[in-house]
Amino acid sequence: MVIHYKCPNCGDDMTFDSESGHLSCGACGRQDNIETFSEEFISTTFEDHEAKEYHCENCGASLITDADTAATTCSFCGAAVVLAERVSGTLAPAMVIPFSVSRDEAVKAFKKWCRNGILSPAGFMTADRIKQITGMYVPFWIYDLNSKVEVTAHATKVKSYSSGDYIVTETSHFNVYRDINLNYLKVPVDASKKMDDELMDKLEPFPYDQLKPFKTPYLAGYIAEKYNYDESELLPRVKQKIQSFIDSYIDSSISGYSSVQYRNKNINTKKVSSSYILLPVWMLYYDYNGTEYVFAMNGQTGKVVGKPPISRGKIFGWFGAIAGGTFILLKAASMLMGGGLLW
Amino acid sequence: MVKKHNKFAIILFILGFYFISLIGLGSSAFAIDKKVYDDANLFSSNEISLLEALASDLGSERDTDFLIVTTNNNQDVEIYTEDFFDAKIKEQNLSQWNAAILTININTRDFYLAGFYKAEDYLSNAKLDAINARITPYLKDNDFYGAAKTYLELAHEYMGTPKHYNPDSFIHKWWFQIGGAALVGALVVSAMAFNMGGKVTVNAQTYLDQNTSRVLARRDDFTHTTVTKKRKPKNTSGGGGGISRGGHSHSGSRGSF
Repeated sequence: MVIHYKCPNCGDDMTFDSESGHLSCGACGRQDNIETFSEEFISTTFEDHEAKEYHCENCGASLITDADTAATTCSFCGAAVVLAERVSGTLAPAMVIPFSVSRDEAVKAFKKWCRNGILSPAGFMTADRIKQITGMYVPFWIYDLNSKVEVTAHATKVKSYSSGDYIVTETSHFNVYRDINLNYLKVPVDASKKMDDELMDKLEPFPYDQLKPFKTPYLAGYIAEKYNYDESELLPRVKQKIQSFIDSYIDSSISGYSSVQYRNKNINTKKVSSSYILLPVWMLYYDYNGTEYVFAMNGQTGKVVGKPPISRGKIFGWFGAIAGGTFILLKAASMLMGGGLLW
Repeated sequence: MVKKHNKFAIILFILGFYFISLIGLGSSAFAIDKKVYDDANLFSSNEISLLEALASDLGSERDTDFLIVTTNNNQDVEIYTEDFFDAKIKEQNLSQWNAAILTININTRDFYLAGFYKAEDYLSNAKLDAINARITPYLKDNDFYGAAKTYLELAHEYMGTPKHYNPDSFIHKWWFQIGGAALVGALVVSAMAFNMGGKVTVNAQTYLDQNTSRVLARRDDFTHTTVTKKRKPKNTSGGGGGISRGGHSHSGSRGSF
């Protein structure tokens, strides 16, 4: 089933407007509040793992989408289309953070970011070759996790003092035990196969105060994907994500010692709850020297991530400048201590 | 900008250094007529006159007598140097005498470098050690004139440097300055390249629920104490110098060949 949002005034196609947060009509300017907009689709499940043909109800053209697409635009008439069965039933997201960065703002912010790329080639810094920019709702699972941690460690306190002709080192040994309860809330993991995990991790944090109960109109005008991995498949990854957080908490709970050696670390992390949410990401595709570079931008905070091209000349330039400056400083320090200019 | 600033600092430093040396001059004296005491006959008469001339030239620039003493007795070379100084300072009826002495004992094949008064300050043990290292090869070749000449030139040069200048310190080495600069450059540039793709801005606190996360139980049980004793290492700094029997303190560096 295909959902269109028709303007009640003029019948044109409405899309989500990131500035007002409303559904807005491009033709007559009418704006409708999404919270109160009537829910038009029925929550029935059509599990669908194949590319499927839909018909745009606007112009009748057939929409071929791949198996993961949940929202797109009709390539013939440009109408925003939401594919109902890909966001309903088990595929229904619980929450969504709508876009607050518009397409123009995204391009502007990206250009600004490129100008700051001190190691990028000059041709890249102008950022005038953006091939494609796509507003995309990326499927994420967010987990509430509870970790029960029990650690035993051997810790020492070392005291040194001199006595006569001797230096005496006193080492006090301790058996340390900690029982820790940790709760991590809303840890996100991207559930799309297409998205680079490292890129998505760097986009964090997303402002969770902007989370809204999911309504399909938020997707109008954007691309949306359905998840490829379910919450149990991604549980190991989220556990691994918080591993370093747990370790640093344990470390901070054992303080005041000269050395700490862990004998036993027993970490038992359990899922308390998980929800399926959609998060706003601008994907930017950029051609430079025949290579395509992919960047992602947090659709709320405007944070840009992705590896820009690196200019060899600039690398050497910066290296030369920094090494040269350091050399002059070291030389000056040496001369202040009596060293000569040439020896 | 930075370079300019440093140059200015260096000029200030050198000026200050000159003023301090002028003040220091007031209470002490130098300029004994004879600089070379070749009891062991290690130099030719021509060499002696060359060394005498060089020693007076260089010494007068530093307000210090640069002396060269050779001997072939059995006495310890350091004690011999001290006694020599005591005798000469008494002869001149001085209370303070700026002198640097190279004593070569050809019998025991030892040598000793000493700095008294101004030369004690400006020819520190570290500087004398540096001279020591540079003249030892000459002495091993029995090139006593070369050793004496090198000693005079280096003593003159090092007395023109700040008190705590250590010629052998790694800070003054080319390999350290170039290597250090290259290392800093490489580290900074790789950090820049690493951060280009965007940094991770979440930390251990971001997703932690502060209200419900806590340490439920903690135990820190003391078990036992171990004690280790280590003999203090001999204090090496200043170990090269000493005090003569006449009560004159000096810096020093000993070597053999």
